[in-house]
Amino acid sequence: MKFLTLILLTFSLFLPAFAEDADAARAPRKVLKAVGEIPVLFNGRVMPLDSFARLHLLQFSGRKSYQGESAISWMGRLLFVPESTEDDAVFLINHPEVLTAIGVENFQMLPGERKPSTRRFSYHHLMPGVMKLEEIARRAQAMQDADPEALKSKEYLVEREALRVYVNVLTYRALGQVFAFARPLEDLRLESPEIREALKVQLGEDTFSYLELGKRISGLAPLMIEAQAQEDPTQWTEAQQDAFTLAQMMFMFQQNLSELPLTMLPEAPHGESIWIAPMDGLSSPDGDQALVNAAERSGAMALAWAAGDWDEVANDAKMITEFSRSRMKHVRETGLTGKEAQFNRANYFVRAKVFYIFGFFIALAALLSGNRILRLAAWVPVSIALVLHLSGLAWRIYLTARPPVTNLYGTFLFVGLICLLLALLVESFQKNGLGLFAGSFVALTFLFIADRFAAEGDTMHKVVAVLASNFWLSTHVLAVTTGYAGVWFAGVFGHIWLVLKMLGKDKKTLETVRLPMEGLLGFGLTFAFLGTMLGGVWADQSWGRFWGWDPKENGALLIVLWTAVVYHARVAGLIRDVGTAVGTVVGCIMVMVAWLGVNLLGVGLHSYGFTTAMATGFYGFIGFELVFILICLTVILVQEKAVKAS
Amino acid sequence: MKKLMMFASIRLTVFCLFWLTVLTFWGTVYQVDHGIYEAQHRFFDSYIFFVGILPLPGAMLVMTLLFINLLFSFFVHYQAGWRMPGLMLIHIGLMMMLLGGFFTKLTGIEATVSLFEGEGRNAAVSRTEWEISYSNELHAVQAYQAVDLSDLRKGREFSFRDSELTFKVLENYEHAKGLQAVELEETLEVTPSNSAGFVALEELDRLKTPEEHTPGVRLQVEGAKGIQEIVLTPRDQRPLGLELEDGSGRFIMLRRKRYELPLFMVLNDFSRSYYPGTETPEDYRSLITVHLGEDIERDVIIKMNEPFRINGWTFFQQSFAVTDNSEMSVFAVTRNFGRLVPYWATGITSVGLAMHFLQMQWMQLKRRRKKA
Repeated sequence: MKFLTLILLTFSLFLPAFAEDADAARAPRKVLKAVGEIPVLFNGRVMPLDSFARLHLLQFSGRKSYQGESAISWMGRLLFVPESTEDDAVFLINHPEVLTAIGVENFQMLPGERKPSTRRFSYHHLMPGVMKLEEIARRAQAMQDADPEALKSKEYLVEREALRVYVNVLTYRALGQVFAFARPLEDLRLESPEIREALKVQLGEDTFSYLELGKRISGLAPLMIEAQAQEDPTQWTEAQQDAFTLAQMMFMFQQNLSELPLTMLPEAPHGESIWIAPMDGLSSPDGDQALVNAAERSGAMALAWAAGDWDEVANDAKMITEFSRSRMKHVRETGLTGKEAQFNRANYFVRAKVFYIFGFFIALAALLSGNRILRLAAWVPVSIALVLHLSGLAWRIYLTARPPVTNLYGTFLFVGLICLLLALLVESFQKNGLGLFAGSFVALTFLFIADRFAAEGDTMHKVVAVLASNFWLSTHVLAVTTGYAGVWFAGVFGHIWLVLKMLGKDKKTLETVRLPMEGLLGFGLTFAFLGTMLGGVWADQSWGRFWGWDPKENGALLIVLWTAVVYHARVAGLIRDVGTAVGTVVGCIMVMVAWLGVNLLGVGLHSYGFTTAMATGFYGFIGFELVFILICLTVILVQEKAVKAS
Repeated sequence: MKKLMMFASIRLTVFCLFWLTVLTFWGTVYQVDHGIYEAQHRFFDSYIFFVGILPLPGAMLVMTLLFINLLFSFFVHYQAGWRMPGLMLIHIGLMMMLLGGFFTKLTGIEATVSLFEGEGRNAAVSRTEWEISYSNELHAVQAYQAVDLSDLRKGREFSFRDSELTFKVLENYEHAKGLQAVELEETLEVTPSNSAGFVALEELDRLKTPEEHTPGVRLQVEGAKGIQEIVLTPRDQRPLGLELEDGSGRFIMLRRKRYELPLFMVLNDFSRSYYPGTETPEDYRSLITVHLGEDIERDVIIKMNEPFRINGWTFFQQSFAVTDNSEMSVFAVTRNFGRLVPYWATGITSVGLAMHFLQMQWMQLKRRRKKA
């Protein structure tokens, strides 16, 4: 009982932490909320600036926040006060050889500079090596252009990494320039009295922004017309020369700052979805005054952020959001940016993971002690985790208007949930804590694996034309992934059975594991078969052939065939309990081969990108399972021999 | 009778399923270096394949065995098997699936039609199969005969209906290139005729993508004036003319196998759209006019996941190509009268599986309650 009290007390300590806002931001929370809801177009879909910020910070640093600061807060600083981020260690460099190659390995820290983390470095830190980085990256890009497979070789690891880091540095720089048009620029210092008079500059106004000067630039027209009347430019007065220099600088600014990566203003009032960066909105060729106003308002927002005028920032952000929504009524996502930002802030899956951890340990304690109260207590965190997990998936379905299985990330979330539901079903029959223990462990593992896929980019991206069918996604993909869940979870019980057998547990205990194991295998076989064949039906509908021996089709078929082999071998008496348990463990390997392994092959209609780290993880998993089987079989054989001998 | 009973053995089922698992895995990994076509050819479409000198059963043989095994099991084990309705449904469904697959393999047609905007066709061409066409006219649209290249083994003699000419296959390569006289080191005793000037063939290694194969065939001809041998390749610029003794001409050429369609289709417009700011396709579709007879025509849209079906034929939006002046839409065309068999088989087997496992779980629970 004391143990239970201790667990619940520890558990309750974590609750206030969730009540706190995760965004320990520099700007107030309501400002970040307003700014985070601004719709932007990125990777073909309209998303809130909050998601844009998370994706970019993830791309740069591999993390969704920076040292406790939320992504939107950090992105706000990068966009509106870029110099404040120059010492932030956000550039992830996986291979230290890149630092050596660009000559910044022994970079001396400046007084007051933060000590760099071992793998993440600041822009300031990388600055001295950027020229060299560009040189390596350009060579790598040329190689990749000539042969897309060239950089995949291990010997070009540094080049590949340098190219990735260089792209991040360029993106970082470009994002820092998005609102440069609104900031006073030293280069636009007006000293000539004639120019100051022509532009009606007040005393004390020394530096100007592109935006301010753009509004007054027409004042230079008399000086320039006068100058153009003279054929020989050497005869121009100093004021006339200054006027031309200033006009030229304005032109260069416009050229350099156009088409920057933050496309947050919809250009066309109706019809096509054309989104442009704020700077480009200032020079609307069609005289679109509403667009120009919105662009100016975004500039005002940048200045207000820099000045800490948070009310102004929030008002400007809301106005820009309203402007985009009123223009893009026909694009569903534009109206959902607030909801998506809310979903991002809720961190359902992170919270679910914490509760799964609690559930796992309490269920483990219940299993080991046989304590009924502990077992009942384990239901609490696991149920909360289930609600959070389910809510997160429901949000994703609502936001994307698609079944939750459009990419590998989504499939891990979904399979984790199905495994948990199966576990709760088992638990409701067995009432021994085993279902809660195994279910929370598997759901937790799959949420962690999903995180690895989330690091690859937008998890709610648009699907390609051939996949854009909600009917088939919600029949074939849901069925086949439910099959994965069944076979996988049977394998988990297979692992538990083998471990218990090695520990010499009695037959009664083993039976409590064997029965759900076989039931789950049947469940998995049914859904894997249905899903695989529905995939054939989809292929027939889309490509005109039911079966083409494509690797992904074959992967799914492997699960079906292997599960059928285990069943029939059992019925035929070729294997018994040990063989069945080993068969379910091999079933786990089959599931991983179908789920991830076939993507490694890089052939067929279903081949997706695959990172080296994931490939290593995949082979590691197979190696682990094979060693596990070998150890189990050896120990069990030795035990049986010993029993026979005695 | 006892010997026949071995076909109903569950051990045979285990062997078939296990060997299919092995073949599926092997064939999948094999695709990395050899491509899908080669893997399919070697493992899945074969009855026997060789590893060195060791013959091993291919998937066709194993699936035939499995079908026989299912059939025998059905009659031997489930005569009074209404206690196990799920199991019966599973076996019926699987037999239907195997039969359907076999029927599709024998009778199904897979071809493509490529159309530029404004262009029309009434025939589809195979992506991988070739034929030798033979006609009395140079530009024969309808009046031609054809023989499949895959049927022409070395040494085989053949002729066309009402034809005075006979042919004998001297060489037939799945993938080859034509050689001109200047490329040969030796002088030929007989110089074959060819419209592109090729006089010999050089066999090439097969590619991972069989649709890119360029076959070649050398034939001995009897009955043609002044011509003893001919070489045919896809690079020939026009049909090869053969003059008969009476002075009339016959025309022969190697081309992709052609299938007559039950309609004439014209591509009016091809359109595509991408997600804004990306190159990810959101949708692509073709507006075609279908002429079904002298006076019957109608417009249809073929797009991804929404094919057009008519008289057992199905037209799918497959891909497209863009040139400077025009856009070309490519349609996959299939004819498969057994198309719905796997659909039914899937439904029956899935229901059977669900019934069987629910029944098993129910029985297990009952047993446990009894024990308790």
